Amino acid sequence: MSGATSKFRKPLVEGEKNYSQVTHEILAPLEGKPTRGWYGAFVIAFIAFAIGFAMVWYQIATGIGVWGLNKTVGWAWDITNFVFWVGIGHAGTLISAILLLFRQKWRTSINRAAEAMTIFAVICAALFPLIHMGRPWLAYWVFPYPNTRGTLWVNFRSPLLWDVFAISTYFIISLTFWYIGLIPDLATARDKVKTAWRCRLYGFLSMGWNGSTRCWHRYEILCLILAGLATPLVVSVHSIVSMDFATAVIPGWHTTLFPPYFVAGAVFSGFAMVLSLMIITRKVMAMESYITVNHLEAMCKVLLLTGMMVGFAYMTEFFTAWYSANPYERFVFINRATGPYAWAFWTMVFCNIAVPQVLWFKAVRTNPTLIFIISIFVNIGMWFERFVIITTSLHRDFLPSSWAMYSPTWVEKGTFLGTFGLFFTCFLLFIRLLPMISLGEIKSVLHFGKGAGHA
Amino acid sequence: MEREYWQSVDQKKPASGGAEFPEGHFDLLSGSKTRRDFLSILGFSVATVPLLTACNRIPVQKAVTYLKKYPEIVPGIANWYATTCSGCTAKCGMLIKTREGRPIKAEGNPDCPSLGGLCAVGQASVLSLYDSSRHSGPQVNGKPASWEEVDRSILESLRSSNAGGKKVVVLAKPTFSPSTKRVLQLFQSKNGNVELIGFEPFSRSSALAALGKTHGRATLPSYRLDSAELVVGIEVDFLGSWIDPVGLSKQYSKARSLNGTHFLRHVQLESRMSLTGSNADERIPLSPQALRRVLSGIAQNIASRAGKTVQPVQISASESGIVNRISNELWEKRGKSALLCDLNQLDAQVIVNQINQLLGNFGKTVLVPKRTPLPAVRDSLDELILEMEQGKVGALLFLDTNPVYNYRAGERFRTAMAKVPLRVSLSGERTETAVHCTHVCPGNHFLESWNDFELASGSYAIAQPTIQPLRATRTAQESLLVWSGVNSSYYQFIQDTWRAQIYSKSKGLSAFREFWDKSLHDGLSPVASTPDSGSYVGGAITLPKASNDDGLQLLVYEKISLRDGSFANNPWLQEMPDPVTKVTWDNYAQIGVATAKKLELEEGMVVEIQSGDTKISLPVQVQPGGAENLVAVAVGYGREVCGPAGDGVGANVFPLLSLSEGYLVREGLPVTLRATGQRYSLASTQTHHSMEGRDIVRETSLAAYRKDPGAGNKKRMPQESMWNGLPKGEHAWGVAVDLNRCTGCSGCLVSCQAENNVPVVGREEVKNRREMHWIRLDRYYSGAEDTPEVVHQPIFCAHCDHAPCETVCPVLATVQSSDGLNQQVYNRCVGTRYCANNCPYKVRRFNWFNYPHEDPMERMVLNPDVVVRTRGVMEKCSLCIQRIQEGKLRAKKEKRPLKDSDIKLACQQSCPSDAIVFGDLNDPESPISKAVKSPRNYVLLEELNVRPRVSFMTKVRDKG
Repeated sequence: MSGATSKFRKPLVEGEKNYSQVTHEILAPLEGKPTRGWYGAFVIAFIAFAIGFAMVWYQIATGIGVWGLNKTVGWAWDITNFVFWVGIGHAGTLISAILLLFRQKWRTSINRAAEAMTIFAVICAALFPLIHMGRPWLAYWVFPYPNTRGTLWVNFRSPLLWDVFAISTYFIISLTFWYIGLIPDLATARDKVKTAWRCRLYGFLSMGWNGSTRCWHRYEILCLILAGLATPLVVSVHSIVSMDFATAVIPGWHTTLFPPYFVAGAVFSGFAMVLSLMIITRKVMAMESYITVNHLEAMCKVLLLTGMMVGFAYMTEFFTAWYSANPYERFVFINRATGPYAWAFWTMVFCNIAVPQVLWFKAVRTNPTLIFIISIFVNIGMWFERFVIITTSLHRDFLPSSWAMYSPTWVEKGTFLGTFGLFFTCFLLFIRLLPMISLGEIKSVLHFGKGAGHA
Repeated sequence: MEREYWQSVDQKKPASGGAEFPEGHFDLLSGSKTRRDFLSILGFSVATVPLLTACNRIPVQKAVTYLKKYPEIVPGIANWYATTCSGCTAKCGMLIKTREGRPIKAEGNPDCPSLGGLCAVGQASVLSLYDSSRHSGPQVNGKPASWEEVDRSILESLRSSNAGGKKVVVLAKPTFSPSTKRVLQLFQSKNGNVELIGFEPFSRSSALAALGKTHGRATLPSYRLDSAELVVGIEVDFLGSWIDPVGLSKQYSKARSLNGTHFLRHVQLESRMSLTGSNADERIPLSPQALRRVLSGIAQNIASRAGKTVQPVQISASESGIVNRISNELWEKRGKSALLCDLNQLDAQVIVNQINQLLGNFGKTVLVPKRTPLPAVRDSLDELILEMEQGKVGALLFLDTNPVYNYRAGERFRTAMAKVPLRVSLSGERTETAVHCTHVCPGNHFLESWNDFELASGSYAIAQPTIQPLRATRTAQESLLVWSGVNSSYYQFIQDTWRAQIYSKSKGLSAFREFWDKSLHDGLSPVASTPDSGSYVGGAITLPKASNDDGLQLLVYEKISLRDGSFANNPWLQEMPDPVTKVTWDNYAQIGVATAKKLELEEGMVVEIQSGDTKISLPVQVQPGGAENLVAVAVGYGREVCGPAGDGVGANVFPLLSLSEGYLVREGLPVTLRATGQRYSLASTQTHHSMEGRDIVRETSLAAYRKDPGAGNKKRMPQESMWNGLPKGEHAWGVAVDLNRCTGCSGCLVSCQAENNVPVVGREEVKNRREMHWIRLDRYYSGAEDTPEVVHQPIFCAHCDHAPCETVCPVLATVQSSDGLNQQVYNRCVGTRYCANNCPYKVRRFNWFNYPHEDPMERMVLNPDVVVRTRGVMEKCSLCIQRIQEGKLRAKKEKRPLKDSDIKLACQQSCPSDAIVFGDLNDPESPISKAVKSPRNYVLLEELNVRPRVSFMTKVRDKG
């Protein structure tokens, strides 16, 4: 396995590892005792989740009035959180589907975790359209199912209904893609674990995978098909989410720019979240040799690009508002930058436009600590982007008599915290119970960049 | 064949209306079953059993049928009764809608002098009827007692009071009721030494006395603004709370409608921004002291023009400019003008009468009604307090009076009262005075009682009960009759009065029974004693004294909702936004913008207002258009025992007031102000007051309008659409709101609340901007902060043809009807609030919680035709769809086509200025079709192309 290191291609996996070593290292958390760090993180995440659960319980039992919304601002933190989590859910599919189609081999060590992140983020996201309803117990009415209520049917003109389809489709495809990708590794786990019940569990989940060429052949075909199916979804989901706003008449919402703007923003925030997670995970789970600085650097480049796309969109919005000569439109943007929520707007600009500019420097791109800090800024900035779009547009619209301010209550804050709890609880269980790096795929790139002929 | 058993004749003969379920469905017991039937029944059973068992949270309600069928009660059909509102001295005619015996809605009676208008207070009276904190029965020394016990003990005490040579005092609200007057006189004659004292906390005592002095009749004047061309108001809220706001609004809006030959010009001189001032063509803010100086100046000016000599007045150049301008205008329009003034000082009121006399307005625009109140009102009770302290009073009866709360020296009154052995409160509502009474003999609510009134117009009105007394209460007059030893019901007594006093004037055209029945049916007698110009006594013209001290001055005023505080326990009125400030649920220290800047005060800072040794703390409200050096505070707040809605709301300002020459100083009392450093946020329904230069209320001047009726309006935009035409129904409902007529009085808001079961949400929820009113009145200021122009604009669901709310609802819970209504389907709504977000007019209201309707008494006010919404559901104006439906059914039953005049919206019916036009746009001859074709008609936010069915008419102001 030795040989001259490629001048141009950096190794994707660091250190001299053989196949069994890789298997052993990646499957280690499945049977080993978790570290203290893991336990600590899990307890914190679970408490946060429990708080969120209690908040949702309280809200559903009492009424949405426990939130800070009012007659003018009908959506605020709820839909902000929804869009925020959907956005985060973008990176997984983008990494596994689009990068697979583009044959970007560096994705192999992060795609599994990114996909898991997608699924958990979409679960968190889907919670909000459900609980933001006044009568969530009737949420099933948004599905077009045959019913006994005469001709009652759903409204296919409503972007909220499009959301229902977009999110559920995205969730199903992502889950399938993730699970199919897991099958060879689950089979490996089945073969390696020592406890009987684990063996039976992984055996059941691996669906009789036997590692034959036929299995691999079909697996690869299916992955390609699913990647092909998932790719348009990456674009469609957030486009449709953006149409919740774009098709409305409210100035600040009513704009054709939103679909591409939201997709770019979603990729931006998704990569930021992947970075935040991976930097912690590789440290905590001792996976630095698999998730290398090169991976982080590649993701930083995506972050820089999408960040600038988002910044461009901000400027385009302002330009369009001015160019349209529409007084309402103009007012919304002046109000955004100078009104009572200006602090939110400038937080967004700082986090999303200013901070990522340091990624032009390679020294920054290769420094995990700095990357982590930047990714957190971007996460915050992207949350504020949605808050700014939703709340500042609503709170001062056409008739000044209805202008109002919004501020969140502790219930909304607790619910948002709870989604982080849910997300991290799921994620921590995932890295504990399932192979967090795709064994099958990482082995195929083990020698990448380490010698001629082993691409 | 199976044998059929029947239980009743009805069952044997199938009902003609058809069975509840159509035949052939789910008939398990008869006929043969196919496999298909079996499966469908099986599926139905499996689905329904868990569903029905899950329904057990709805409590079982047992309905008891009428044992006897009353011919006049048909379940589901409303009965209407004519009666008279007791809210204020105006005594507007009312029609009370009752359903299954419960009064649920008050509307104006179009056959009465109030011409079908009704203010917010009148509208809200049905809720006060069901106020469960009203006294439930008589009490002796705080313990419940029977009426017999109470009567016995009171008669005994009255006897012993007489025996002890002490006097009996009846402290009564002055009344214009012929029968009540007779009851009082009877009580006086039967009980020896009885003194009748008239007391009203916010009386027009000086106006009454002044008219007595100048025109020989101590009564309140009445006006004919509809035949005037100029009205000058001095600190008078005649569209809001003064004398007869509904009648005056009717006249005012008629005289300012653009159909007539003339346009009533309105100039207002006032210190605080009143509703009336906000509607004026020209409004000049002046402090109360300056107002007195200007009034003197006008008097002097007019008198010298009329050839009388009066001493000159010392006023500043700017004030004399105002004086000259207004005097000129008044003099030019003499005989066609009216000077209205609510300064509560005799000299000011006398001079106002003299000015009107010199202008020749009496008999033309100012009339002197023939009615006089009994007992004569007085502002000072100090003499009575002294007598009580000296032990000269043996019994004290409170007839609709509450001096412990609303007399300026209420505390002293309370201590003095303790010396009186017999203290009887006759108010049905809980009052601060009743708490300190030995006997509580609660009277009925006026909707439970008989009464009669002499109106300013000279007609006589009847008030009839619309429901049996809900509690063990007794009309106050009946109690007085019992204590006078008269064994007749008050109803009988009224009939006797009418037979003797009113029927005798009818020249006996019909029998008394017929006369009575007709009067009762109409709410009004056909007999009237027309008001005249009185007999002018003349007298020297003495200008009112005015001080040049322009320090900080207090003005107290009545709020349009709570008035003198008697309605403080009415949640509808508490939550009704003040038409000008838009603040609910509190009173406040209202300070003009300049003064606030000078004193470094901001909205919400709590200040201490001190006059003498008395002080009260109130939050500041900064008011554009408030005069300099003025603090204005509304009375009627700071109640302590009225009930859960009113207790502890705001602060009581009565203790700050003082008397001058026997009249309450309501304007210009010198006070000091001190910031306490605390803050209190007021619950306001509107916090932004500028139109931001947007094209929301379109306005023009009278001169421009005369040249071009479309002045101030814009050309309609071409209507493009990507959608196919909408389904066309038989009718196309539309509304036009005439902004030139609307005064912003907010009567429609309460009317809508009553009609549509709109919940009250409370102060905290209003602060959270979650009030539920389906119709709101937007009020915008423009121009300078100290002399702003004000516009009012009622906004409710616009019923857009291309409704943005409809496209976004994921479950089709809001849809278009073929009649063009935007309908909200509560049952289908899941509460995403997307529709409210996407509504450009922000008229949708969300049920954030389950709003309480738990009080079984209060619940009786609910309109059974309108569903009570649960939490999580969106709601909004339905254009009173239940009224549309009722009109349709009535027309169908009468086998005739529906005319749009068959239907009146709740807001439209009660509007005292007839600002709302509703009707069928499909009928080219209907008023609404004519209104939308008017050059003044415009659509709000037309550029959005949402095509609302609700349009507006431009406002026209006479800018001189």
